[in-house]
Amino acid sequence: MPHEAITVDLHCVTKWSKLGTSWQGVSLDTLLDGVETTAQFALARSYGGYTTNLPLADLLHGQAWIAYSYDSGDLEPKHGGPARLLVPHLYLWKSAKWVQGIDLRRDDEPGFWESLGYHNYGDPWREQRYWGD
Amino acid sequence: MARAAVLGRLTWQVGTVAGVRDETPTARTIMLDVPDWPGHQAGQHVDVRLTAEDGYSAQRSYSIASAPGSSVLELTVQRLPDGEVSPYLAEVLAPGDPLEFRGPIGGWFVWNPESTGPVLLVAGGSGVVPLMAMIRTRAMSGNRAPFRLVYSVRAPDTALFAGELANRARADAGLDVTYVYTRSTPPGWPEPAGRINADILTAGQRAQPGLSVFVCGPTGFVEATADLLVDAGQEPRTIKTERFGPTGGQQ
Amino acid sequence: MNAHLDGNVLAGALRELFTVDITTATGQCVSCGTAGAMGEARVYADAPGMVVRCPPVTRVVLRLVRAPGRAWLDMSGLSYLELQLPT
Repeated sequence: MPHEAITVDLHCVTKWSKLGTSWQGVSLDTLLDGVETTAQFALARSYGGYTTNLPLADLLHGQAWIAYSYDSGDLEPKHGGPARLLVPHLYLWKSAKWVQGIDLRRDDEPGFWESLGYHNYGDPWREQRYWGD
Repeated sequence: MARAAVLGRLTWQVGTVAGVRDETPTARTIMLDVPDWPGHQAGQHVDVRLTAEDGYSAQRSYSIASAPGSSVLELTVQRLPDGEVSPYLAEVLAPGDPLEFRGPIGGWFVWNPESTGPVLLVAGGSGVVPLMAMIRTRAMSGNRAPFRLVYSVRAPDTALFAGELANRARADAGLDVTYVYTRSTPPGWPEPAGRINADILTAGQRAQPGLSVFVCGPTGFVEATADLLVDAGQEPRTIKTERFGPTGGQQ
Repeated sequence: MNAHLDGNVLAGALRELFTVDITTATGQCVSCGTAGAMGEARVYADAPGMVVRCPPVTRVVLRLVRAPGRAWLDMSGLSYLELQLPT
């Protein structure tokens, strides 16, 4: 499966951004290539029961990867390894750690943190951290 | 001493640094003057908050090292190499400076000077701080419950309160202090450096009835120690732990 | 998953919301029925928020998100909380 080197800025809700981080991963475009779907939403599921939701369109067009390597090494568990979702254009909590699967859905289901105060979409450029932002 | 009942939400307040005292090359005690301090229990902590000019704030918990009874609290802070808060507290903060904090916090990991049962205190590194508060509180209250401290450190010069512990143990037959050196030992030490083990913890005794155990330190140390104790027959519900782990996201 | 901390980590955050210490409160897990001191619960305190799990079954019993001027508290994993109040 084709994989890529990715260099991106990360935006954490509570701290400043971490710029120029480098990863290796597989693009969601590659993973979903050939998948026919009417789904408009996605729910990423992690080991441990965490979930996060986002529009399917935000996973495509070069915007998202399943990353398994960080800074030229294996992705450590504390950073979400062995594999995590990486969606740099949204706040970092959307980049689900310990990713187990991604469900494509017709309806939008708020994830673990989105159901307890965190913004449903999470655009850092509009500072969408919490409900109502 | 009646425990002050502080009803109402806990809010941030500002204390003034009354003094600082170096404990080791990388740790020091901050004496914080809090005029209306309601008192605290040995084992409780405060949350300290530092706010930068751009509004960014970082918050960490520090155990209270001193016994209750004074409006000056002592916080003993170990400087962590990549800490966000500890380098400032351990190196920069000076007498006269304000320090924002809230507390006292916690009610689970505390020792009450009205208890009479024997106590085993097990400390890993800076985990000794709340246990020192218990030792100091015991002395101040005249409590005669047997106390044993097992203190695991990397090297002799990283041990906090070494002089005070030696003095207290010498003067009080009811307080016993045992060191475990994990990296380097003092000259003439009979054993090679090594980690804590069941023999050291039990000191050859089968589980004492009525023994309460407090374990404090890094998460890995606490878990390993608790496992050793349970395997040696100590009832899990008699063991209270305080893990110093990676801190949570700031609020 | 990350190593967990113990209930002491909850104390400060919940002392902002409750008028008494929560670590000495007893909570019952809605899933397995085990009741125990919140001080003994497993706490995962990484951002985005705090997650508290029942030690035997690791089911989420409490979640807390703290934002400027707001907090969200989910205790749906507890069937009750018995709090110690000063006399």
